[in-house]
Amino acid sequence: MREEYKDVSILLVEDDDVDALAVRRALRKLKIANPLLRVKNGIEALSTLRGNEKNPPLARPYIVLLDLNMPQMNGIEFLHELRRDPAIADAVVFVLTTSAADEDKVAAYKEHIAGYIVKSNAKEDFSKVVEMLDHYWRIVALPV
Amino acid sequence: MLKKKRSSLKLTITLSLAALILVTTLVVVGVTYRYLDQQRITDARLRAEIIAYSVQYMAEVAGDSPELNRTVQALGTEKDVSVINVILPESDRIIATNRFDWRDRAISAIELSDFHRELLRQYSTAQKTDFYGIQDDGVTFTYASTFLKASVRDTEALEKAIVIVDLDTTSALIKEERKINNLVSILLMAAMIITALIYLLLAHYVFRPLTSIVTTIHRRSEGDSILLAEVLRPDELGMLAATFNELVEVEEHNKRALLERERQLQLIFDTASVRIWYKDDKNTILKLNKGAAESMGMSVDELEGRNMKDLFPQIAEHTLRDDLEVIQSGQPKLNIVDKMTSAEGKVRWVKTDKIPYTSTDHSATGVLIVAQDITDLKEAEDALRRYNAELERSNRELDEFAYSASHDLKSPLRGIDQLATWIAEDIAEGQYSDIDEHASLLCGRVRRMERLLSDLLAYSRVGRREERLSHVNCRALIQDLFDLCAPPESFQLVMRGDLPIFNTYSAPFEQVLGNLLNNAIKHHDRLDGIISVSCKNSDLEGFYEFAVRDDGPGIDQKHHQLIFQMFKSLKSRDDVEGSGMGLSLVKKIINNYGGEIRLVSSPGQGATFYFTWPKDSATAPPSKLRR
Repeated sequence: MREEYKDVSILLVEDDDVDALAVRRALRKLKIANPLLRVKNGIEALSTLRGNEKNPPLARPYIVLLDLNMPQMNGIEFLHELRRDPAIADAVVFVLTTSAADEDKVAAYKEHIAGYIVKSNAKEDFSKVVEMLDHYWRIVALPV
Repeated sequence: MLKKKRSSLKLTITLSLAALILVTTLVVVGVTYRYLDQQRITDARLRAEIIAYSVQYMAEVAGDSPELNRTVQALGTEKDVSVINVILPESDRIIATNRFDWRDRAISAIELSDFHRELLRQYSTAQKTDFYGIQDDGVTFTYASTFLKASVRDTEALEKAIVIVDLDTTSALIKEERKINNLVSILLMAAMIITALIYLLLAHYVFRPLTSIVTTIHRRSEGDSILLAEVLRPDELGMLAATFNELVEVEEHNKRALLERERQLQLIFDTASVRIWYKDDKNTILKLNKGAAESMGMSVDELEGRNMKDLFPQIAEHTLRDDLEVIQSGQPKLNIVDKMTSAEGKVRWVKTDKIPYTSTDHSATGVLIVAQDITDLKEAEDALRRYNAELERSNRELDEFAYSASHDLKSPLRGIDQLATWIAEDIAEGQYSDIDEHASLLCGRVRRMERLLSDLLAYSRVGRREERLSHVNCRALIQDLFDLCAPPESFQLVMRGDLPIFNTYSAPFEQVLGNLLNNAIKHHDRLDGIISVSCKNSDLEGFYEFAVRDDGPGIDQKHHQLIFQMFKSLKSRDDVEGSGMGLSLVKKIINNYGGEIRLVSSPGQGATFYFTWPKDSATAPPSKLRR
């Protein structure tokens, strides 16, 4: 269990540097040493998951932390593409966004996300989120 | 109609009176003469009886008078003469006798015998001297003595003497008669005078009032509306005249009211903004108002009584078919909306109601048409629909804006909040390694926030501020704007062809060009970019079309619409600093001045923004709702 858990890598899809930093900081604070990979939009995320000329596809197991509001390809568009690609369609995705709009929640859950998390103003938010994720991958068996 | 053959009351009464006079005269004369005859006969009989008795007496007593003696002698001198009959030459009856058995019988009942007739015949033909006569008070008594002698023996023995009485015209009886004649004449005269009086009275009391009424009726029927019948006396005819006048006044009042109403209706008819006309079932225009006439480009007089077939042969049959449908069904056809071309060739929308029309006496059927030019209404409706769509769009935009704004305005704030928290935490924990980085990130977030707010303000101000017109030299302006962007040294600006020098609202124009140039530099992926600007006349009348071209990375077709939306950027804010409002602002300004912006680009091919801008801003004022 411990071995598997250690191997879970996190793909953070987030265009905002400060939000990305927040996630990193929370991981560090909770002393979670899982590898974190950050990309800035959906296109980069797909390319990372599928692999490209520079890097091979991201090694499983992994979970995706996805922002919705991003340039080039936003979160919903990314989810849509992801679920259409059989090689990576099984990815476990948590949406981590500032948008509390119902249409975004509905659209996101239609693409079979594991959870929709709204970034609120509360300062410990990211710590709680990271804590929850830590529990999650310790208990839940992820696709390999 | 009063002039038709009429029986005159006056003539009838006159004739009746004349007939009355005639009949009265005849009766009076007849009665008088009959009376006179009677008198004459009675008188003659009395005398004859006296003579008869005298003769008898003389014969019995043998009187002394030589006259009588001679008479007696002449009569035969026989003293036993017992019967004496008196006859008149003009009568065929014995008028008097002394025979007692005859006296009570009406004299007319005793006819003359053959003997008497023979005697009268001889009397009329013989010399009067053969007869012996006496004069007494104008009456001649003739004794037919000679014949008597000869005839007595042949006839009945009783009749011994016959007296023929000849009446003289100068007799008293005739005087009496004359007296009676005069009386008759006076009576007749009186009757005539009375008749004349009656006539005059009738004329005064009956004919004059009647004539007055008749004349009044006559004159009124010829158009005299003031004349009233004279009320001469408070009798039946006076009442008739008064009643007639009352009737006339009521009628006059009704006529005036009717005229007034007709005038009002005509006024409404003429001034109504709708077009009204009546047609019969043969497609002839019976009546129409000015509005209707004007819509056909003619005057009312030119159209009234004309047939649609002669006026508008191309549509006549169609309209007639429609009319007949309405007439036959008796059901109106409402709200028929047609597109028409007016006399000036403009497209007009007309709403028509067709209502069946039957005259009160059912002698005529037709259709009443009420039409209304609803072009303005329709245009207003269309405009309203457009405005509505515009409003909906703008509302949608507002929603999107609110959504985006909540994200995009909150995001730097949240960043600032977090960074500030971390710095505080780190200081508290004595870890200073990240503080520099966090502080500079924090400053960046603050700048971003500031820029976002100032861009939002600029965006909201588009079209709200009174812009000033000024003289713009495009070449100089573009060079200035390019320099202001502070591009890397290796960037080049190329201005192709003629760039206009013109009067325009310079501030928004500068904003547009500046943003486009800045975009081209900011999003360029190399340091040796070439930006070119050119201008030509647009296909749109009165507009220039400017082109700002770069040789940068280009933009995928699927993002062409997105980039003009608010807060949308194709790069992460942390990679390329920007509010995401530059192109939305540009688009809003251009649209506000009636222009359009479009993008021609594909990845690797660079990007060209084309936009149109009015040549003469003074005559093309900004219009907010232009699509």
